[in-house]
Amino acid sequence: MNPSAWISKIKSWISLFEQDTQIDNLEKKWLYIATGMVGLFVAAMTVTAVVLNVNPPSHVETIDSASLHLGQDFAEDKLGVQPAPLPDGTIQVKLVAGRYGFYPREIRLPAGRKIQFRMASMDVLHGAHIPMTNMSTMIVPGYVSEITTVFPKPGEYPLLCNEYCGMGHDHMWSKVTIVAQDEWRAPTPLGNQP
Amino acid sequence: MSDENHTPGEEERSPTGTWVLMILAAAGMTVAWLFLYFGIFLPRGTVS
Repeated sequence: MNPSAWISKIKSWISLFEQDTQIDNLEKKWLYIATGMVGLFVAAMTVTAVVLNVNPPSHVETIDSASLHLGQDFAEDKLGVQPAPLPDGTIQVKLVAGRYGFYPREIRLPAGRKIQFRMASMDVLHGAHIPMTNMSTMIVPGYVSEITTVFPKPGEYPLLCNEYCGMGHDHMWSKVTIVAQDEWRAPTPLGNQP
Repeated sequence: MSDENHTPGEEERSPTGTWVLMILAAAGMTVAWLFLYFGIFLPRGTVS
């Protein structure tokens, strides 16, 4: 069907709807306006999801939370900012969440570069949230949470736990320092430096 | 609903003031949503 046929079909549906339903005139107009607004918002989110790749992280990877310190990925000397970036230039950060902190306690990252957080819990359910940014995810025991984001603005940000995890939950936070790209240096392979 | 001032079949016209208020409310909400999404949320960094 050509576009004008579609338009007249849609108009006939609208007139059928208007004939068969007893809705107040003003309410009908508001219905169309509200539906149009919702359509606009859904279209905006769909376009940005496709064009800018903005979408909730979808990553399923299991891990034994009781023996993180014995594993290859989350052993204590492997935590923090990784010395070598991923092949596409993304900087990888490995964190362990446990009552009551994120380890390592301080990390230093560059602004304007893609950062991938790989996080695991060593005990209970935690959340990881950096206020004033879009970095926020849950860390579920038994799974690795992986989230990639970009920090546009340099500054010092807290990394907070936003999922109740016990008596010390309100003290569970670490520090993330975002610096300009030319001020940042990747840590040496021997140790992770703040 | 009809009363003695309406003849049968006459289309009811919405009061202009109500129209204006509706449009203002819709425009305000749309602008606020678009500002928060494109002006605050997305500039804080994309997430995937």
